[in-house]
Amino acid sequence: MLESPLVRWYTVGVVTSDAELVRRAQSGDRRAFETLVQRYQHKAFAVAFGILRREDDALDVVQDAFIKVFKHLDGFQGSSAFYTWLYRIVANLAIDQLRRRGRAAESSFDDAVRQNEDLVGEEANLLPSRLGLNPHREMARRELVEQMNRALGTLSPVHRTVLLLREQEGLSYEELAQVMQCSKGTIMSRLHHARKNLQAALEGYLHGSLELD
Amino acid sequence: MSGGCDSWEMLIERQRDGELGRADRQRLEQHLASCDSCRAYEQQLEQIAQLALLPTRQAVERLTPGQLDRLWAGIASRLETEPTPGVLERLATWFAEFWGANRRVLIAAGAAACLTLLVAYPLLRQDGSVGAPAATVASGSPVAVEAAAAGEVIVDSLQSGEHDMVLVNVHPEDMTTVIWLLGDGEEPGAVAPAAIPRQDGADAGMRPQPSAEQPSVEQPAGPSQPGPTGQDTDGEP
Repeated sequence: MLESPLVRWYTVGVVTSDAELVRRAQSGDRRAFETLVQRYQHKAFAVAFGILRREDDALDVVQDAFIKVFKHLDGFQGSSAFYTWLYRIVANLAIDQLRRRGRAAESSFDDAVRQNEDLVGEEANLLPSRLGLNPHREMARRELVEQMNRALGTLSPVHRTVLLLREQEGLSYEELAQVMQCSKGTIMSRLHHARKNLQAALEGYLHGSLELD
Repeated sequence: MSGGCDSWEMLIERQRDGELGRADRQRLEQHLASCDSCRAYEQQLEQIAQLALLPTRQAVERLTPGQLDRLWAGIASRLETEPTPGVLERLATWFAEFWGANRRVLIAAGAAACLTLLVAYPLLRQDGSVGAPAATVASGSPVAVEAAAAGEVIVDSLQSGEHDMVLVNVHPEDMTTVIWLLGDGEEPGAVAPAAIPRQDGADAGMRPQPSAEQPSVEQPAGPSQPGPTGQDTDGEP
């Protein structure tokens, strides 16, 4: 069915706000909570994966985070945005899981990098032949992603989280400070540290234009 | 990036993150117009962001509808079976959100309260509105004990040179001041105090004393009063 601009505008205009969904969920509307989950499951997963680097672990953390959100929804007053509250819970759970693992986290991260490299490798093997791309370029791209994974592995979970929330979710410094429960100055410092570390780790790859897609 | 441009890096990052004020933005634009290395850093920031997000984007794209269905099924199932959190746990969550959203205001309010207390408390003590702690006054001084019991003692203390001095105002209406000079580690009353009447209510006894063993006493302007040990302490103790 064709959709007129007016209908499209109306459809966009009636998208329920987070605050309204939270209010409904607080009064026991399970459907409203499900809508919140559907709205934020990808973003929550991205935050968790950015910290943990393992898909299964990230999905577990997302599930735990939404359970925690639901159980504490009564205490959410709306003084901060719902998503900053959610991201804080996701980030804290993910970082806690890394800390619980202790040294195992390092090997787990290495496994995750290898897993990611394997996937990239499969893509690199498939894409040039199927899409007629330059194999050398794909090799270079694969090498770049591997190097990026290693570089991300050198960052602390907190630095990775701040960088990801800034670059992926576009959170402001104030929102980042709320999520990470620290000052804006600390956020700026962590972002700078993360970027400089990545810049150093990717030296030699950052000259010229990147063609990642 | 040249060493001289290090200070511009943070500004370049804030500019990229949309967190730079107008004045700094103009200053930065002027600098970028004439600095190749800073323009290169600006481009590198964009490349770093693209690369840093690549693994996460790939992982999100790999998520299947089946995984997401299982995610919600797991959540719904646990919501039915898991118990609701206790009061303390809910309170902790409430406070975490409240603190996260109002951190700056709370810190500013706390700092203001501490500052007010810091300024007001000594003033109140000088006025006698806040009594001295009896335990401090009572240590080894019969007069102080007596005066403290009568609620007429105001105690102050300060550091002077290498001695700790405790200044005790006894019977303010008589304008009498008693000074304890304390050596290192000594408690009030361990050294014989000197009592002097105050001439004008000012800090007649608050000047540095020459020695802990032989404390000098300011010249009295009025009749001498017996010291805490019961002696006439006008002059040498």
